[in-house]
Amino acid sequence: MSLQPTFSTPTVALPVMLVAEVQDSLLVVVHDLKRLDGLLAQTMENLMQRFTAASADLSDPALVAMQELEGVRAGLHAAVTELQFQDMASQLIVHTSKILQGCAYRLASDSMGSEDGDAVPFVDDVPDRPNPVTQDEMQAGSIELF
Amino acid sequence: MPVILTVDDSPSMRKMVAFTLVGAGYQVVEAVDGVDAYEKAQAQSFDLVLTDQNMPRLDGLGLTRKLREHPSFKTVPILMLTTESSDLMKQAGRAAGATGWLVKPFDPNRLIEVIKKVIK
Repeated sequence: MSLQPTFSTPTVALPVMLVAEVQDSLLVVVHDLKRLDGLLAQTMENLMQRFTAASADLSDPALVAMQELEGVRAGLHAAVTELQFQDMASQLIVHTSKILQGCAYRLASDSMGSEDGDAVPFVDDVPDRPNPVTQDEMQAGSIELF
Repeated sequence: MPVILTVDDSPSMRKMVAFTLVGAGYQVVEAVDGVDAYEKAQAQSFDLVLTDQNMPRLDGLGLTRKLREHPSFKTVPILMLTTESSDLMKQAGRAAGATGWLVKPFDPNRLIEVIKKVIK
């Protein structure tokens, strides 16, 4: 496979060491994002256990009639919206990670090739469309019935 | 008691949806993706399907298209619950046969209101 650039637009030559450092940095960030995703998932699991336990406690027949707990019940119910943060955060992290990983492989492929002279295979799961998560805040989303 | 099939690859989302629906008096069957949901849909009938869009193996649009081909799901309401909010995706959902499009995060009270509205 040819290592010559396949595009006709002007190219910029970069020192190999610089490309290698940028690629390393990108892969470190990808690794850190994966750790962050894991931490969020673990935290969410713990939060869900506490949420479920608190909800079960409040459903105890001995407590159901207690008006003083209405505020707690309402707060727990309302927390359902905020507790969806992990799903959205995880999708953001996965999408961003794939783009960064794609950049790292692209750098290696276009600038250096592999050690045996072949170009580094391009990762095939780089997102080809914008991030599906466009929300900037944890307010309830829109509803549209067709 | 109406039975609802909820489909999402995120365990936390499945729990939040189930918590909300069970608390409102619905029976819930959970599926982890479109393939799992389609298998469960062939095994029993449901009064409503609430599905995510972006999932491995089979996404929400693909599941909706497959369910609409199934005689027992011709008229069952199918609601999409997803982070996707573009008009293009909503149009695709409508074309696939979805009944409505809900953007995450959902508010539990509003979700129940919508379900009561579309469920027969």
